[in-house]
Amino acid sequence: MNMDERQIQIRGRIFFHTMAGLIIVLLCAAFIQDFGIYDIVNKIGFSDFLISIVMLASAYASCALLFKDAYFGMHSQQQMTFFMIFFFIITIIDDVLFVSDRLRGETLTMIIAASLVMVNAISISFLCMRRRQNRN
Amino acid sequence: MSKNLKVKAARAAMDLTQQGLADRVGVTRQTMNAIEKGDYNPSIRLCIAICRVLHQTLNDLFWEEEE
Repeated sequence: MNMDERQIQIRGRIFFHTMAGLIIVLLCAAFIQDFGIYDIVNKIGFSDFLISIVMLASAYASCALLFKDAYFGMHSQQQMTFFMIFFFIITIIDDVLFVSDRLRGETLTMIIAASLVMVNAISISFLCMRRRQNRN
Repeated sequence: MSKNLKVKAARAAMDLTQQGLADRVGVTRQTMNAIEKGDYNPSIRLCIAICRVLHQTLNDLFWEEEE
């Protein structure tokens, strides 16, 4: 079954909010860089910064879509379980890599922090969704 | 928006679950739940589909009397 009208409406609204937020953050970053408040390009890295921002935006969009029951491609309980397991595996791998990096004394970069936030947020959202569905 | 108890009552009268009604009108159970709770304002096309399945008119299910 395709998305119904409520889900399409919600997706449009969430994508709009995500895009608007992304534009605002990028504009703020440009001003911060130009006015010399913080040297994003040299201290974080231009590509790292952009990728991190996109990761955080996609984390927001994914969580919002999950909480509104409008996440992509989840038309059945089996598909939801598949996505959930997939994200849990990725989260565990990411968390283990993060801990091992910290134990080795490596510095935490923005891109790693953003990826951690993204996968953990999506996994927790899946967990909340599943609990809510079981309650209903 | 207030709860739409008329849809809920008509659905219960036909012994249909939210999932059953949702399947018949081609939406998800969550959307039916949102309509009954008054969280979502359905399109006229969806309203008509619900009315057809529940053998009711638009007035019966979706018209709100002014207070």
